[in-house]
Amino acid sequence: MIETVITVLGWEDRFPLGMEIILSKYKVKRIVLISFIDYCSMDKMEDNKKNLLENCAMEKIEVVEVNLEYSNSINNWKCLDQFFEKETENIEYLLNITTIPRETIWALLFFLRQKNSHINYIYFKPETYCDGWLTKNYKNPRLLFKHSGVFELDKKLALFIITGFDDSRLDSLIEYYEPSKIVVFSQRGNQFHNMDRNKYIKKSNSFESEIVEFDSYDVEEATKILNDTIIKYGDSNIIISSQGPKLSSLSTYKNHLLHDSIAFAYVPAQDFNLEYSKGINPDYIDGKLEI
Amino acid sequence: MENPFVFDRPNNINISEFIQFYIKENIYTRFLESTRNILLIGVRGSGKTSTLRYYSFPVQFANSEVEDKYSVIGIHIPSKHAIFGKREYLLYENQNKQSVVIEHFLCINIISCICETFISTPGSLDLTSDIEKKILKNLSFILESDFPTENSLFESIKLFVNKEANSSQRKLNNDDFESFIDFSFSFNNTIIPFLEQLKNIPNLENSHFSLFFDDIQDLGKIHQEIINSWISYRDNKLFSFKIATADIKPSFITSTGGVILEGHDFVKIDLTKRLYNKESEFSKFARDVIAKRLMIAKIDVSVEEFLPESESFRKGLDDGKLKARKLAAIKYPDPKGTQINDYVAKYGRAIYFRERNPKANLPIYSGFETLVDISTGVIRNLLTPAFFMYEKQLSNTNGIFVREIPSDVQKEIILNRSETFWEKIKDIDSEIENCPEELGKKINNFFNQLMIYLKKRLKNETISEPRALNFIISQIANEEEQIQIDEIINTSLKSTLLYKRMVGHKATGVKLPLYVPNRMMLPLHGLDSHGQYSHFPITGRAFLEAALQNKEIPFFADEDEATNQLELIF
Repeated sequence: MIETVITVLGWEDRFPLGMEIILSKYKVKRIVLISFIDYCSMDKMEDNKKNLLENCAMEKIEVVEVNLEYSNSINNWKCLDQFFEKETENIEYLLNITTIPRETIWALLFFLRQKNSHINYIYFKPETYCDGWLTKNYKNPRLLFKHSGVFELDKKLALFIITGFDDSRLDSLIEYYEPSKIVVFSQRGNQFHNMDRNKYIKKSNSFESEIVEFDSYDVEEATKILNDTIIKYGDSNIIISSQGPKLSSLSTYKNHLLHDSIAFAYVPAQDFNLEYSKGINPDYIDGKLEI
Repeated sequence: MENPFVFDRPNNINISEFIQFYIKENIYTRFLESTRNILLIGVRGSGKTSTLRYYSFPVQFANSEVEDKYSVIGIHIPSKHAIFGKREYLLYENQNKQSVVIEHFLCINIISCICETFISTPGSLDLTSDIEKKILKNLSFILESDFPTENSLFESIKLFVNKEANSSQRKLNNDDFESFIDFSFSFNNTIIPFLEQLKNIPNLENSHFSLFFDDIQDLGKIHQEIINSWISYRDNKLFSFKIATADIKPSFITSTGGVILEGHDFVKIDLTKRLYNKESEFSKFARDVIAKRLMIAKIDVSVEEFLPESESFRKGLDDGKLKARKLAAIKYPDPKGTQINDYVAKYGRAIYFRERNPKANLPIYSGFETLVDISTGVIRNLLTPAFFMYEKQLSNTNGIFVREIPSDVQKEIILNRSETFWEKIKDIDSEIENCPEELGKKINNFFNQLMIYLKKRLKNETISEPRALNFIISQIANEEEQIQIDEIINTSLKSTLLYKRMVGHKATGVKLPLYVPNRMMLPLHGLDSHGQYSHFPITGRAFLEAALQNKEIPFFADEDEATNQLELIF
């Protein structure tokens, strides 16, 4: 029994299609619909919201709307803090992480943790990603509130990057933090032409770096590999940035619970491609995360 | 064999190597050894960190050339530590509380750097256990804390600050967020008493502590305001600040909303000033840098032998000069003074570049002078291609001792670096924060049009300065135009596509900015990277039409003459 689904309004096909699957699979009492108001004017956003609200009205599902602003991380944190302050404990939540920015996934896990010892999650892969750019026009990386680690003054910095398809998002991280070492976690397998698109692996030869292969879609395995690597780099301050599949945000969070000295960094993008992805892969990934 | 042109971050090189590599520039000594507050401004790669590190105590102590090692104790304080990326302070509604948190971490970093300074120079202070005990006892009283006693003085203090750093970070990350404010370090309650206690050490009895904040452009706004507030302290007997920044517009606001004033609160040194000096001071400096590195690597050849100029390049330039001389003889049948030589100097190189067959390969960019030219006066821009040239040649010779970089290897690397530079321009919106795609497009348009314009200049036989590369922006119609221009210019400066320096009109004294394009962009377009000690105007309208509409920049040959009545402000 799922009482509350938390989701972020998206413009990709997998948002409405994913919500359809969720509503057909679970008996849902309430949906917390988070909208980033600075991106609401993107194509399809209005329709996707309207359709969801209509469906919910028909099914008598309560919808609680939370408006955030992608460009205002301080207010977002305060807003979520206030929202969860009023939430009762031990509600069975389902976090639909498919279209939630990684920074918000981590923030939600922080607040949900104060209400429950576990959360349910679900993730829908698209059918395809677009061939061109996915995101661009990045702002400087930033550390996540309350997850900015415990840095030791003498230690050097190791930057852990779970790679995705946006090379320049990685470059901006490296340039900003000037780490002593880079550990690149690269997605195993050739899904979505992964091997061709993950060009960073070739470029990283010019850094003092280590490449660790893992499968982000397997949260348990990714958590373990991350944990082993964090222990290996125990003599460094560690900043982790997840750019890969959204599920890697869960394995990184699990590791934060094990090692609160590691910090999370997020690189905000200002432009998202309208054609970011197409369709939905019906084989969704779901599970329960102890937090 | 190790590449002698490695341009590692200066903090990563050990002290003895650093002393070997560093070339002291006496013009800064008076300032950096003074007890005044100094603001050191320089673009990325211009040597700010090296300069600060050179005057830091560990390097001064190890340097046999330094006689009085204790009068000024330089403490190098990098700003790049991840601890300054923490943002929890932003969650406080009250701005005073935000400042309290930031000042706390700044102070922790200062104490840690002071400790590290003395820990890394063992034996420099002749400390006795009585003095150590006395200082620890006093600090324990002042800071109301216990210090570990089984370690040396600075290791004990460092353990203490590490513990404080750790617990304060946990407080910020956890629920007892507000409790942080009750106990925090400030410059007044921690740093000043700490420095005063250090005066109990006989070797430091008469010392002045010079706090070197490096790369403060990497710090946040409130961090910089707090440091500015410290700079505004008038009494510089015990301490002073030397602040280095790559910021093109550093902030002078203090945390109380006041401002610090140049000349009154601090002296400004612009590290880039000498770079475009008429007498090419940089060229001499660059020669010293290369020669010293060759010497350290035991490569016993001259700079010119190591970086020979291609014969065909040399011959082409000589032929150009010869043609210019013939043309001058026609133009001045009855020459006066230096007319002929002046003409050759102005047009000789231009003739070579303009008369090259457009279908021919690009010139063989080579020789020490060319390397200096493409560096645009930035030391990192000089060493980076030299590093790659050396690597390439080492690979060509299968690791056999490198005594020279053949001109074809020089050319290959220069063109390769130039191509990489243009790729950087192409992707500028990904490289720079807050550079939307549209702005990136404008920057691309402008620099592409600038190249077309420079080619036109080079080919024009009537203008007096065909190889001028630097420009000013004239006739800016209104504020709106200024804002649009500033957006493009500032982003270009930030990403070092352009450099800026101030010029003054000879007659009116009016100051205006002169823009110097990064010369690394020229080789790929077959342009002359040597340039000319001159500049040309681009009207505000032409600048914006080039950037916004990709329109060609028109010639204004007449104005060229008029605006050249400018001189560099030193």
